[in-house]
Amino acid sequence: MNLNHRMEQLRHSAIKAITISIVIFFVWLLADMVRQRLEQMGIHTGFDFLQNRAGYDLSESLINYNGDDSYGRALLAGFSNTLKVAFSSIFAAIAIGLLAASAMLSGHPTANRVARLYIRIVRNTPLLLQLFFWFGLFTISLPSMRERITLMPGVYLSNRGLNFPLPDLAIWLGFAFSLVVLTALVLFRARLKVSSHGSNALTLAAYLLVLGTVPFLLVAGFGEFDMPATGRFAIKGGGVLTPEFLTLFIGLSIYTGTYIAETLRGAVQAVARGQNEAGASLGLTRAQAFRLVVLPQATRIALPSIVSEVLNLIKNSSLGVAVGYPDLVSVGNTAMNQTGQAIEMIAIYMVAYVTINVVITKLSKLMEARYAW
Amino acid sequence: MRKIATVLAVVATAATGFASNAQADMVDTIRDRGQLVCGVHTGLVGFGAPDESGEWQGLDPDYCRAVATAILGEPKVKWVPLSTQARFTSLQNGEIDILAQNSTMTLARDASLGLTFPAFNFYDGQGLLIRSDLGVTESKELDGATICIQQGTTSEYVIRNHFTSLGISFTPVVIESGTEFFSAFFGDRCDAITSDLSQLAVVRLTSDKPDDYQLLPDIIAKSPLGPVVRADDKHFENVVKWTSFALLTAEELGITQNNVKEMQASDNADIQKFLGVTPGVGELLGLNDDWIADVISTVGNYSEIFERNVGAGSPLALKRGQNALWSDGGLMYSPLF
Repeated sequence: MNLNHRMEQLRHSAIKAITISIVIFFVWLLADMVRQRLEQMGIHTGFDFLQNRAGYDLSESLINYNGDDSYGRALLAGFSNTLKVAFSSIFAAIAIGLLAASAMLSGHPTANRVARLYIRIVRNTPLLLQLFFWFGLFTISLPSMRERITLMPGVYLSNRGLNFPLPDLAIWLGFAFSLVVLTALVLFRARLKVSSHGSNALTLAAYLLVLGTVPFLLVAGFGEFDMPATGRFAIKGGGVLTPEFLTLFIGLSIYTGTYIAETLRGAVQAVARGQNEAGASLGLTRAQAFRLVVLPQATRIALPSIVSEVLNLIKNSSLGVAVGYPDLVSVGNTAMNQTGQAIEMIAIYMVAYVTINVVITKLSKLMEARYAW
Repeated sequence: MRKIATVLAVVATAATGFASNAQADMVDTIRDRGQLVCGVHTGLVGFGAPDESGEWQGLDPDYCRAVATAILGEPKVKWVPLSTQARFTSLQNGEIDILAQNSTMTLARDASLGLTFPAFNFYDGQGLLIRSDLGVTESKELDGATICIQQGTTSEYVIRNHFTSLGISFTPVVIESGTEFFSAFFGDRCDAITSDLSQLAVVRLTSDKPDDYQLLPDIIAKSPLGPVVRADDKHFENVVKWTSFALLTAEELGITQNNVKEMQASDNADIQKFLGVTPGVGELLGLNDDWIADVISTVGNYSEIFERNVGAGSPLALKRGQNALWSDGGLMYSPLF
């Protein structure tokens, strides 16, 4: 009995090992054949082009990059841009999805109708066309730089983008400090309320710190903002959200928001009606029942689909090449044109996207474990 | 077990089939197929744009017609429009036989892609198109400007080198699709666009108000344009090369589309050999002796092709300039037949 079991285990492992080695062998054979054929045709192969000087600038990048750096660094800059637009869009998409789902679940007929209309229109048009629409909207409807809209002193809106003052390091630290104090205030508010007397003074001091740190730094001259200054052709200095970034950000968020909204709505409606009634019978209000009973169960149902949508959003960010946003694919395409190494570049794209997706999937598995019972 | 064996056998055959891909002679392949597959621009007036009947007209398509006539006797061509991004890969993997799409010859394209440029059909330069109301007269004044660049062209690094050498900076906006590229410029997303001068001239002419835009006088870089073929077929490369030279030599000798028959009756021994009256011009290239006569009667000589598509007989009205014959001070020079 024991021996049979061991023999079976051995046989399984042997089959597994043989299959894996055959697959690896064929993959290697294929790769080798492709490489030989390319060399035969006189096409250069190998990844050593990544060290060569790139020779082209990017319109924006999260890391420091200019045209004298290598192709490898250019790809990193493109990757940073992909991460920037993907992660900001994820939060916006989830927010929009939550809003639309709440509108549909609220029971108000107008809100429901508006949300459904939004979902119907956006979900049924191709994303690329929507991106072209937003790009056209931003370039045509926004005024030129000379006639820019000044929202606040230092914040300009034009068809070159949204320019805003950029804080320097001291102000960033000030903001971070204020944020930490504010978080502490919110989290420990319950504790502060319980113990009565000295708490009022403490709360007041905390509020002053939150509101006063940054203005104090500014006035005392420890920190300053890098203000945008208009030049002859462009606004120099400060930070900028380019129309390309805004196009991708808004286009991706609105598009993915519809899918997330539908997923959330389906998940909440999938939780049995009995749960609402059970909550009511325990004396919970509708809002409390939703937050404590329905939402955790709905989250568990919705989580895999939402993770899928997030992964889709990340891959859709590669459409930035069509609207001029320098994401990984756009930057790599330029490198591909200049060096001709198409196969190596596509391999790099695949590895980059697979890596992001694997990381997100692993994180989602952790979250799912939290919601499992 | 039988199933596994079959699967392995199929995979092995497929894998070996990959390796033993003996390269057939392109000229024979084209003859068997009865058609030349030509990669062309998606739509650039004068250099390659479809007309109402779906046939491609322009300088580059006429070159494809010439090569097809040389090999097949008739201009039987299949047109494959390609973006700047995909054009070289399509040629590399055999989707098209020849790429006639306004392509600039560079070291990287010639040496590392397995492709070759047999001959040039248009000597161009790279320039900048700006809005006239900016009040800019030369590229030195464009410090800090936003410039739209089309992805997949040589413009990207050329413009940067130009601005670095002038000591000024600019912000690039790189757009892949041709239509978005132009609409970004006309929508004022960028202050200037950069591309080949001939293309900019077309863009300016086809805009709503041509007078609102002007070409800067700076020629940023040379841009020799010509058809491209794969480097591993010397025979086809020679056919394309010598077809191109035949068009130039025909202009030098005064042979036009209409007077081929007349010229064939000439008693100049060179012209007799050139037009196939006496044998010799076709044999070394594996073509018929009257291939040049066929080509010239089908598409005309170089000056007729030029004037018809981009010169005086077209809306672009470009002057011959650098594209004139060497005897007229230009760069077009054909070796001896």
